[in-house]
Amino acid sequence: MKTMDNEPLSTDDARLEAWLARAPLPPASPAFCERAMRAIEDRPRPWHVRLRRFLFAPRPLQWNVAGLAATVGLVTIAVVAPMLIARGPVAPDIGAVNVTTVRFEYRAPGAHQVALAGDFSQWQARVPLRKKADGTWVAELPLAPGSYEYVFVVDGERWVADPHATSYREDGFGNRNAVLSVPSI
Amino acid sequence: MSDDIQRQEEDWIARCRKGETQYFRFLVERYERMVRGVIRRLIAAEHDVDELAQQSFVSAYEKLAQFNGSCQFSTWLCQIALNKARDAMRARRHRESDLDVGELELMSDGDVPQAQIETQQEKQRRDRQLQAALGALKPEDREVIVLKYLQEYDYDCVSGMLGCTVQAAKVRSLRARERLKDILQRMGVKL
Repeated sequence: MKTMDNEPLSTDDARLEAWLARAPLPPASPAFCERAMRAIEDRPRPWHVRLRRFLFAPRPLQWNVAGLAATVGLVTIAVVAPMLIARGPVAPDIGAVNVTTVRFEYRAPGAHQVALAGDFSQWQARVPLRKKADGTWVAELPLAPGSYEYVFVVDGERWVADPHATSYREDGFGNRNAVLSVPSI
Repeated sequence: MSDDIQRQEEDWIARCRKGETQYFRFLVERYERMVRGVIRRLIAAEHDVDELAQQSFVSAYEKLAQFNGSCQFSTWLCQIALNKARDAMRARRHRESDLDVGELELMSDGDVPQAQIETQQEKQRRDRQLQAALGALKPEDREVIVLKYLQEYDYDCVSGMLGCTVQAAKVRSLRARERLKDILQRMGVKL
């Protein structure tokens, strides 16, 4: 045994070091371990540690048949109900499917304004036609299959049935409307 | 410490850092005797030992992220225990010497033969003698005795824990040992 790492120890010093080396440690204390761990576990932890523990802590799963059946039922409702709600009532989709673009023409070189009115606009003159160089007024309108009555409204006051329509129908007030049939595609 | 034990400790520490607090229990179980022993010797008293030891472990757990592995975990933990003991002694304005050396003579070995097999009673007597002698030392002498001769750390570790140079640790160790030897002789303890 040496002191200062390189000098030989005297007999007394060697005895002292040997005597100290035999100094007993306290006996193991399981109760101390319990208290220390409780103190550690009871102290507030940083939020990220608490979050990680909450998210990743393994949890025992207990189940029975009734509980499983109820869970399956709830999951089925949760999955199927939104699909049914999203579909809504079954109805023809006139906005996006099976629509035909119909071109309307009316020759009126002296007119200042020509519009369409008919079933498709609740008989409001809301579909304006644009004038071409040759005096023809033109409009294109997407329409679902069906039969439509319509007229041209010239300069906002004169209602004229399309002279080139394939058929006409009396309006009950002594005038007639052009009739357009839009077939299914 | 073997490589397996070292790796095992590193694994426990890594798991604790991830929030798996239960792995700290293994470290507490492994080192509770050391920590309680160091604190008991450092404060040279029986009271508050477990409380300070518990504070040391809680502090070690809280600072685990700062443990960088440059020394062994046990060394780092011992440093924490040393700091706790110092704080406690400062807080209670511990007297430099708890015992009158004259009182210590009552603890002499008398005619006990040294060669005989040590009984539990003799272990207890030697423990009390050491505890009394440490109590008669100045706290700074006590620290170096505990770290160098009871915990048997090398001078690099001791100097690091005491915050002094290796040479200063050696000198302090030598002087503290002489003072302890003197106290033990006056107590009539046969080494």
